[in-house]
Amino acid sequence: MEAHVERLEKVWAEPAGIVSFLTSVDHKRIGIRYLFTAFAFFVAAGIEALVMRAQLARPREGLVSPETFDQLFSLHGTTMIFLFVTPMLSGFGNYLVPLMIGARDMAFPRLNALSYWIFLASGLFIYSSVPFGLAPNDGWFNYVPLSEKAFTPDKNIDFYALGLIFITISTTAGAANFIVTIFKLRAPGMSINRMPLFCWAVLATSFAVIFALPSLTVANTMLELERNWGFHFFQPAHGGDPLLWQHLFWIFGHPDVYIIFLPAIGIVSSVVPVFSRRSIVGYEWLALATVLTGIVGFGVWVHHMFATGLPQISMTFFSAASFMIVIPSGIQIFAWLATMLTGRPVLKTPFLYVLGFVVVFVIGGLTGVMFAAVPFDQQTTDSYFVVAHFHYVLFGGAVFPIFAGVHYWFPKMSGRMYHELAGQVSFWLVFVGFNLTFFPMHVSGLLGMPRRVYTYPSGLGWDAYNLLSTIGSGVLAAGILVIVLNVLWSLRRGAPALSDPWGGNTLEWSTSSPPPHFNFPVIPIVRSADPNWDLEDRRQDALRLERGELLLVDGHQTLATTVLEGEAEEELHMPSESIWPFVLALAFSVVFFGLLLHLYGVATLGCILVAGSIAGWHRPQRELQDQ
Amino acid sequence: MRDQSTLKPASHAAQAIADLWWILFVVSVIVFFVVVALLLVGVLRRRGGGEPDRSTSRGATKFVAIAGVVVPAVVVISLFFASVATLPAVSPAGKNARMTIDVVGRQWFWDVYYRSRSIRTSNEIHIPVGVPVEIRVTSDDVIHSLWVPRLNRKIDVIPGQTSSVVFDANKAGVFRGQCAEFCGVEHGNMALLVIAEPQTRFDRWLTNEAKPAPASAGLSAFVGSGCSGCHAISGAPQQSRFGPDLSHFGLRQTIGAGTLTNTPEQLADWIRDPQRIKPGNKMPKLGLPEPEIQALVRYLESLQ
Repeated sequence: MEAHVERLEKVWAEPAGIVSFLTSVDHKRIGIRYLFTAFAFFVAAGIEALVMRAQLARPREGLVSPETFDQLFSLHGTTMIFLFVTPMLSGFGNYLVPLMIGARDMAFPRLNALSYWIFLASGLFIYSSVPFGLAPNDGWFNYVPLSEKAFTPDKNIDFYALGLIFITISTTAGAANFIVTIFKLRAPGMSINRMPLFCWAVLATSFAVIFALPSLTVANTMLELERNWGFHFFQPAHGGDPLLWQHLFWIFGHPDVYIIFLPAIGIVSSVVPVFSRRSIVGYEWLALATVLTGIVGFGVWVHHMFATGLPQISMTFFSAASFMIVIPSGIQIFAWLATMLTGRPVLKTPFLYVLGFVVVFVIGGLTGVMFAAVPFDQQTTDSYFVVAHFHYVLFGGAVFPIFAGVHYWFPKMSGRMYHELAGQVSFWLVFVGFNLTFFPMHVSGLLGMPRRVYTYPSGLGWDAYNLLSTIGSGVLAAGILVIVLNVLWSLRRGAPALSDPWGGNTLEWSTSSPPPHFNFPVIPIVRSADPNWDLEDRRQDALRLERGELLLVDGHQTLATTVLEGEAEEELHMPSESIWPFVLALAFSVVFFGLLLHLYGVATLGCILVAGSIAGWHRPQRELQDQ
Repeated sequence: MRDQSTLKPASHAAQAIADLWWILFVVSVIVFFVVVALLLVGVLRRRGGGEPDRSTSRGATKFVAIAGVVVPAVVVISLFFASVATLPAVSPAGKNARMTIDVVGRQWFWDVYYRSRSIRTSNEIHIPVGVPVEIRVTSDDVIHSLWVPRLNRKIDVIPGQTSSVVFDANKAGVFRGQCAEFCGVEHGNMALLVIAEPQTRFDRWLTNEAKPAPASAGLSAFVGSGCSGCHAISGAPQQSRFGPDLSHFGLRQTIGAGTLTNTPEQLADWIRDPQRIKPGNKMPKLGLPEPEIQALVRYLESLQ
């Protein structure tokens, strides 16, 4: 047994140092990088929000100029959506999916590394606008014609449009990788109806990404062609239509809400059974609800455009579809509640964040139902009511679960426990701060305050609610600071974590904390949806390790299984570390900076570098077979 | 000051929307408290942990089917019909509109036309009480959104497209509105007032608005200072439409699309340095000498 593990260590070990940092393809290292990088963007976007709240604390405040304010809210939205929530959840997916399904890496480890490097490069690309005062300034949905050259002549919008096209490469590659990983690399016996609900969520999200993102890319490409090459897709004077942008944007934008939300509820479905100490109620219902949400999410985009003067009959259709999306959410909420009601809950920090999520998300869901009602939507869209609504859905629906996930998997990722009391303090600060920040916005919106105003006059009844929101944002920031300090402190001083500190039901808890490079010394065999609660099966794994069965020690190997039944199919040889993903991301950066600065020679050179890097990537390489 | 609250309707349409809101609100409060109660019971009733329970409970699954599917379906279908029933109240003008006003959204003010009377004004819309008025909107530049919450839903103001909304005030009053679609750097200072008044007063206002300003020394100063390069005053030789129309400016309540109150002092401040007060707006700081500013203020405030 020792010999087998030693051999695996040798096969999977990555060289140390800076080279290893650039060449690693270990999904766990990449996942953690995603988490840290996305969190850094979260901090940046949070600071932007705090400055905005300071500006809005009282009427006619003059802390920042209107132009700065516009850049702040545009950057805040763009960052939170594209550079924080989506990649943060990719980080969890990256780290957890292979561990949960009993695989040794993602299906395409190098593509996985490429996804990360492109995410980092495109994030830096967008943020490189900040020192020049040229950050995107027309909001995260960047409506034309305001974002055309006639009205925004500077490069703010080019940073936005090119940056988003750039990051799409990363997200799309990541989605393809998740789909293949989840379909093909599950442990033998893990038929699709035994797969962890988190994987269902990542799977549905990945399909949504594949179908939704092209619309965003098309829209931004058309916008760049308009701005820099004299095209006229959106200009009525030339037969174009500004509403075309809105359709293209929201055909992407609404499914994107679920792209953000689904993996987060995957986290919730992971935490609920473990801390309720019972198998989840209605597994099939939850899996179905996840898929249904992903599909119906494509049929509701027009509810972002109810005020544009569309015919009432088409609005009624989209209104009905938007009401319908309540059903899958209802299934999810009541399946979690049923699990808690029939379990014996343990109130630890991850579970507290999940409970906070339920409370907050129900409010966001209910105001979401309100927006499906056309007349109410037409009255309150683009007011602070909608700002309140989508923060309840996105902060409540995604960030609370993310914080639950951070605490839940911290022991697994770091090998140490976080500080429980600090965790609970952070929860209460975040919960109170969040509600204090965003609940009053419902009221200011109903009182007629439009969103995206850099200032407002007094006397409209908005002053007190705005001041409350600003105070709340401070409390919320304090809560997040406690999380950061807890993580930093616990990384050094936390008590050592066992492999399974919570009594978890999924396979990541069956391996050590943190897991070895190869995840599992022996590929586990699964017979239920709660494999880590099958003690006998896990004992059998240990016995097979001793007997030397199903070890796959000849190079980077994992097992491929059939899509539905999860029957063993073949042994896969996975690629090992490589510098090419990093080089390719650099080459793409050259292309995009060339396009941004209109240095078309540089952009062409970048394209050649991209082609060269892809060639280098595919050059046949000797596998590490070591004899 | 003028209220902009969706909860103080002053028209049938706004009332219908507010009624819909209260239905949605009450249903939401009930659902919220039911869920939170279940959550608290679930969490607090039987704490303690222990070995995982792996039984499947048919009762629990039935609970999910009823509470998670059947009940929400009944609720949202009812709400859908409540919503559809409200639609006619907020629909664009049908045949019943007795008057049409054209509003053009501009960065960052509202250009208002009473075409049948050849009247142009800005940032204030006068309407008669109890008369359904069709407001036709379009834009000259970017997308804006016309939103006067006490009178009706908002309607986006889109270049190349004319849309409409009905203002049918059922009481006299001054109703504040504001641009609701981000339209650039001064989006926050693009307000307007809708002044609903009894028919006779409205007619008087209309007759007065139609009168051109008489030729005077003040008008010459207005032209001489360069104001007429952007601003029109009916009766003046030059009629630029670049900036807000200033005919009968003395009767207006605000300056700079709701940025300042229209008083001689604030008007002088505005003319001295509009960029300090509304940064990024299209009126430059002209650097006029103080006596000239005072003369312009006197003239503009005299335009009644």
